[in-house]
This record gives sequence, structure tokens and C-alpha cells, in this order.
Amino acid sequence: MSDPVTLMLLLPLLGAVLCWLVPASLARPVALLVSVATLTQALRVTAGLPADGPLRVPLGGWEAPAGIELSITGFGLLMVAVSALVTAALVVFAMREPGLPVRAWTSLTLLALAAMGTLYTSGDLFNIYVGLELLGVAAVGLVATGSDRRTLRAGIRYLTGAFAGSLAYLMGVAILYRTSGSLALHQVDGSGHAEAAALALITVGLMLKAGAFPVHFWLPVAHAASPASVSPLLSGLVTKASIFVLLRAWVEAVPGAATPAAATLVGILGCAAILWGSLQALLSPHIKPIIAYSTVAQLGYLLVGVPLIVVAAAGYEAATLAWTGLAIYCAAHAIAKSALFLSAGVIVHAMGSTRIDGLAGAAGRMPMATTAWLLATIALIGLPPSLGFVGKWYLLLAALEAGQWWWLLPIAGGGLLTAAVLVRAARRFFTPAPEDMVVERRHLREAPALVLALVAVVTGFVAIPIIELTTAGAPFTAELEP
Amino acid sequence: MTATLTYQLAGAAIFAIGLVGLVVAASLIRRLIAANIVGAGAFLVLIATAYGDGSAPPDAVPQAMVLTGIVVAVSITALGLSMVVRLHAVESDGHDASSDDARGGGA
Repeated sequence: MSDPVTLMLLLPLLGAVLCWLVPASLARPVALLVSVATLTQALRVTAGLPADGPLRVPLGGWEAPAGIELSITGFGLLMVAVSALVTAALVVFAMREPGLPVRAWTSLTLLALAAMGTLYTSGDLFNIYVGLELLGVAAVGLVATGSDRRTLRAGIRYLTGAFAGSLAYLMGVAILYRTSGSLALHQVDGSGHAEAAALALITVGLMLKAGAFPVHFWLPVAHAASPASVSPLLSGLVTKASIFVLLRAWVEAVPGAATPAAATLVGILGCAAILWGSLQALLSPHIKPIIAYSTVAQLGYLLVGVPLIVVAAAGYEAATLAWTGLAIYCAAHAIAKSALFLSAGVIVHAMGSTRIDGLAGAAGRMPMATTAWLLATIALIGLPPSLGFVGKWYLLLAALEAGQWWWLLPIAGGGLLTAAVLVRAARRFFTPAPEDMVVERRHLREAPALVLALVAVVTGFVAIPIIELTTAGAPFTAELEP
Repeated sequence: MTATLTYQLAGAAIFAIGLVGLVVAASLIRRLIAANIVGAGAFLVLIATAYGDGSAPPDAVPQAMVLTGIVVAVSITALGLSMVVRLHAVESDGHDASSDDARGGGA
């Protein structure tokens, strides 16, 4: 029981149950304790990570193909730690949230954390399917904690989109099982038409689940209509888990079927996502849809990374660099995007307006939340010294190493678009406010956003251990080098 | 070839029909039913895969996957239906029941 891997995965699940057993007033402290404990365990696991491939843990001593194996990478572990950190910040934010269905919210949030833990560490394709469904149900449940008509409608839309996505994924897994007789990520293999079809189905399914362009139809509404205590989790954390599985499917499950042409197609979709998401964000008059559409754009970066991590297209050296870049960008985005949604939640609640026109004077009234917004913006644009910068830097290095300079354009240019989108909103915060405006401040609600935004910027200074962690356990081989 | 392949192709066809339904259906309940049809297609492919060529006993792993998949599908459908019921309750005693599908309508 004291094994850190077991504890890391089991604690959130136990916590989700415990939230219903303790008095409602204790549910939030329990959730805080559980997320901090999960973070600690994840850090403990990092010590035992081998340098030459994922850490494999056969559950119950049963090895694949008969049993289910965990396959823990530095990337996955980093994301578990980040998810636990953001969850802790979210619980602090929700400590005094009025009208929050406390038990349902804490329980579902921890359930989502447990599901993400599974997705980031599992090495079994079917186990991942169960994790995807668990995460989907928890996320939809969280959307539905805001019980007005618009939120419910968004939740049902999210549910059907995500359900179809995981069934497409399941279909892909069925094909892989038929061709290779195993469900373990490292045992399925092949390069034929069947594997290509399976990879296509898995990719489309996971893109549907993540809300990636062009199947993002449910994402902006669901993320924007959700309560302030839910949007950060959805936008910052939940989207990443599906993309992580997608990346592993490309590099680990069937790298033989991941042709350069197919990878380039995904990269082009990523470029389109950056343009489309940014454009929609620039046109939106409301603050939460702006952040939600910028998530569509930033998921595009992760897709642009796909052609760079496919060894057959980019070469082994470039793929390793891109894997590190994607891991760090994922972590930076998860933290900064959550900070952004938290700060927007505080500002919207205090100012009583969701239109950016109505948020004039927020900077003077709420300096903490505004500072959080600006710091998170720095991390999301990828300005030095933030963690976002380190991630993008490695992606740029990978593009140069692979000799595919054209990917520099979306990686660097997308930063400018992000800047335009987020600064456009922040400009309003600094315009003079109506004189009679009184704003009720709550430091406890502003602080988590600021802390997360600071973490996203400051960790750039201590990036070396993070870079070493994500390089450790990368699931690559140089075999398929062109 | 033969029976197994026929079932697999039929499963793929059902899967595709469900997807089309999911995209074109405007009503929320129809969309949930379409998602279940997608599921039925995927499950049929898996069961046919388990059967193999009929010469050996069926493979138990895909059958276990389908069993899990059915449980998941039932739970998700129940969650979706309960949300539709709540939405209906909110809308019928709310003030604004018009423009319901302004934002809906598939992909």
C-alpha cells in the first residue's frame, strides 16, 4: 500500500468516495488534502523512473498480454503532478464559493483527477478506454453542477460528442487487438492498412474527446458556460489527457503505421486550429468564450507537434526534442490556462459582467487577479523566462533538427496571435472604471489564480529538472529513423 | 472470410449509420440514440472478432471488452437522459423556451 505508484492512482479515487461520507463542511478540506497527497506521491514516483523507457508495473503481478500493465513516462508523471497541483488550487478557489453543490463538486473533481491519473500512466489500450469514459462522465457531471438551461444543453452536447469519440477510439482498439492479439501499448504493432485505419479511428476519437479542431464543436460552449469552479479543470486539464493518449498512440502503439504524410496532415489541422481558434477569440465580445477559443488554438500547437514526434518523419533526435517540448508546453498550458480561467471567474463575479466592455477598471479593483491574468498571458505566449517558453523552444529546436523549418511559422506566429487575443481583453481591465463602482474583494478567491500563474512563469527558471524528467522514460526507439 | 467478415462489415456499417445520425439529429434524445447505435456497431465488430474463424473457442478478451463497453454505454445513456429530463424541467418552468436549438444542430 505504501508503494507511491499505487497511492498516486488510488488516493483520488478513495477521496472521491470519502467526500460523500464526511460532513459536507469537510468535503473541501478532504479534497485539498487528497490532491496535495497525490502531488507528493507523483513526485515520489519520479525518483524511481528508469532513464531508458517507460516504467512498467504489471498490476497484481500479471504481465501483458494477460494482465494490465502501467507504463509510466516522465511526460505522464509531470502531467499527473500538474493535474494534482491545479486541482489543489481549484479547491482553494472553491472554498467559499456560494451555491456550490459541495459534495458533488469535490467528488467529481477528484474522480476526474483519478481518471486523468489512469490515462497518464496506463499502458493498456482498453484500460485507457475505461479511463476516457470515466473522465468524460466526471467532466460532464461537473458541467452539470451549473444547472441553468444553457449549461445543461452544453453538457449534453459535450456528452454525446465525447461518447462518440470514445467509441471511435474503441473501434480502433478493436482493430489493433484483431491484428496483434494484445492490448498493451508496447505489444501492438504493425504497419499495414488495418493498423493505419485503427490509428485514424483512434486519432479522430481522441480529437473529438479533446475538442481539437475541426471537431471542437462542443468545446467553446461547454468550457464557457461551465461554472467558474469547473472551467479551469476542463480547459486546463481534461483536454490534455486525450491529447497525451493520442501522442502515445502515434509514437508507441503503431509507429509503423504513422506515416510522414499522415503526421503532416495532423500538423496542418493544428495550424488551422491556431488560426481558427484565435480568430474566433478575437471576434468574441465575452471573456470566457475568448479563453475557451484560445484553448482551441493552443490545442493546435500540440497537434503541430505530431509530425515532429513521429520518428519516421522527423528522425530520432528531433522526436526526442519534440517529446520534451510537448510535455513542457502541455504542463505550462495546463497551469497557465487554469490560472486564466480562475482569474476570469473572479473578475466576472466581482464586476457582474461577462462582456469585456463591462470589465473596465478591473485592474485597479482587483490587482491580484489582473496580475494573474498578465502572468498567465506571458506563459501562454511563451515569452522567456516562463515554462511556456521552454516548451516552445524545444519544439522550435525539434523543427530545426528535423529540417522542417515550416513548422517554425505556426509555433512562433501562434504566440503572436495568443498575445493579440489575451492582451485585447486585458486592455479593458486598465481603462478607467465608472466612479461609483464598488467591488467586493475576496483574497482567498484571487490568490489561487495568482499562485498558479506565478508557478507557470517561475518554473521556467528551474526548467532543467523538468526537462530531465520528461526525457526520462520517453517511449522511443531509433528503429524507424528514415 | 465469410460469416465473421460479414458481421464485421455490418458492424462497421452500423457504426457509420450511427455517426451520421449523431451529426444530423437535432433532438437531444435522438442524438443519444444515435450514439448508442454507434456503440452497437463497435460491439458487433468486437464480438465478430472474438468468434474468429469458428475453428477454435471464441476469444474471451473482446467479449469482456464488449461487456464493459455495454455497462459504460448504459451508464452514459442514463446520465444523458437524466440531464435531458432536468433540462426539460428547467425549460418548462423557465421563462425562455424559444430558440432552443439555435446553438444545437450537430457539428
